[in-house]
Amino acid sequence: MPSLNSTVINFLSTITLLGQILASGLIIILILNKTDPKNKVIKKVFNIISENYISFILIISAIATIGSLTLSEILNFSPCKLCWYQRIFMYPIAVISFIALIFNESRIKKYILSLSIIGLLIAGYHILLQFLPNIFECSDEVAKCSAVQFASYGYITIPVMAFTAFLLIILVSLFGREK
Amino acid sequence: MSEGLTKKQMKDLRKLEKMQSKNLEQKNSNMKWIAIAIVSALFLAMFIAIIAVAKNKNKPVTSDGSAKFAQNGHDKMIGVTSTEATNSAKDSKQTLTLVEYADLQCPACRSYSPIVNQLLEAFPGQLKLTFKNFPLTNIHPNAMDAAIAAEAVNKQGKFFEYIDLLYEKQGEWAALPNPDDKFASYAKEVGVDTAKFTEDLKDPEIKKLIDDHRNEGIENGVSGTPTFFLNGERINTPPSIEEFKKLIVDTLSKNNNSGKLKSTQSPQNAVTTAPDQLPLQQ
Repeated sequence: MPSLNSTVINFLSTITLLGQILASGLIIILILNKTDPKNKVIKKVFNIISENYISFILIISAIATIGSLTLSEILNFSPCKLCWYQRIFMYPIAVISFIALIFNESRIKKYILSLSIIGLLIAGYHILLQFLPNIFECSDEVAKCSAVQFASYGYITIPVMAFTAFLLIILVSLFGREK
Repeated sequence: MSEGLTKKQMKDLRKLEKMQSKNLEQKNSNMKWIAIAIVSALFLAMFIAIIAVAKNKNKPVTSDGSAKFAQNGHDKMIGVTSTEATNSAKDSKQTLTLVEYADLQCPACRSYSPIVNQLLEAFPGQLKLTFKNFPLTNIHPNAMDAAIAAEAVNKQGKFFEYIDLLYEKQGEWAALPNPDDKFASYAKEVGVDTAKFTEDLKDPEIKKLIDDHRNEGIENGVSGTPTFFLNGERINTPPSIEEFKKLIVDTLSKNNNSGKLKSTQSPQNAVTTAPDQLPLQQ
């Protein structure tokens, strides 16, 4: 029987991979919508995402929040400093989008974008640190930032997951229509 | 735009617009409640899982609260030879065994190392330390290599000298991408044959022994380092040497009064049990 650890890691890695495919899809739709504004199918997909962008953001950020808490609280991976900084910018997105949905507030793009762009930059830096630990230095007594806990499919590490989530949130916000 | 329309027509138009937007809102609102429901359910599930895991951690490992030690560790006792230390527990009922699960790269283990040494000095012939490897490889990339190096040095009988040195110099090697050279120079410093040391580093038995130590620790509910077991009972790591001493004095006097050891099953048997009796994996 596979252990709990490998089951959770495989599950999160698969979601990340799907997220990356989704992100490429979103980029294509964004471009096509600009270049071919008369295409009805593209327009329809665009509108669905655009009308419900906060719901999508809530789901993405909730998965990222729960995933990161599972890794630290259930699998006992100690989060390093950079992981904490990424959490600082991810968790509020879940809270803000949740509250916005309940109170029918649609003008939250600026908050979501600023949080997720900063988060994306930190995650990007963290990925560089993991793959080029000699060039970028980070020392932490408790948990080393450049430590790679696992790398599914050869490249999906924890910051890659965070990077994917932030990227998805940015892309979905770009669709967003504020009423 | 609306110049050609009468007041009534304007009113109707506005009504129509309102209805359309309401319709759209209704559709969005379905999606919105689905998202809220899914996310709330996920969070609820996660909190339950975290609470369940936390409860599991606090549960005593075995029914009588004492852990099982099937693996041989490294024994240290002041005033006797190492062989005598290993055999002492079964000969005398006045001897306490302190099992320590430790990670050589862990700063807390480093701080506890002098405390443990002072304890051994304070109770010569009465307190025995059994050191077991518990490298936290997730957060300490060099912990496993350090444990391997220490086990290789152990083959030449200088285990405790070597780990004392590793703790002392922890700051030098902890952050290195490749600490092998440092480990070799420390081995030279404690006076082992470096050629044999380098050869022993490759011994697969060493890796297996460390994994066995760690698995035993996991079975006993160890999740961090250092974790201490005094006569088979897990203890909350005392914050100071005075409290540690008091705990040992109390346990010793309790044993003296009761005439026999409370837990005869462990760890006295542990040191004499063959190492091939691995605890069952669950």
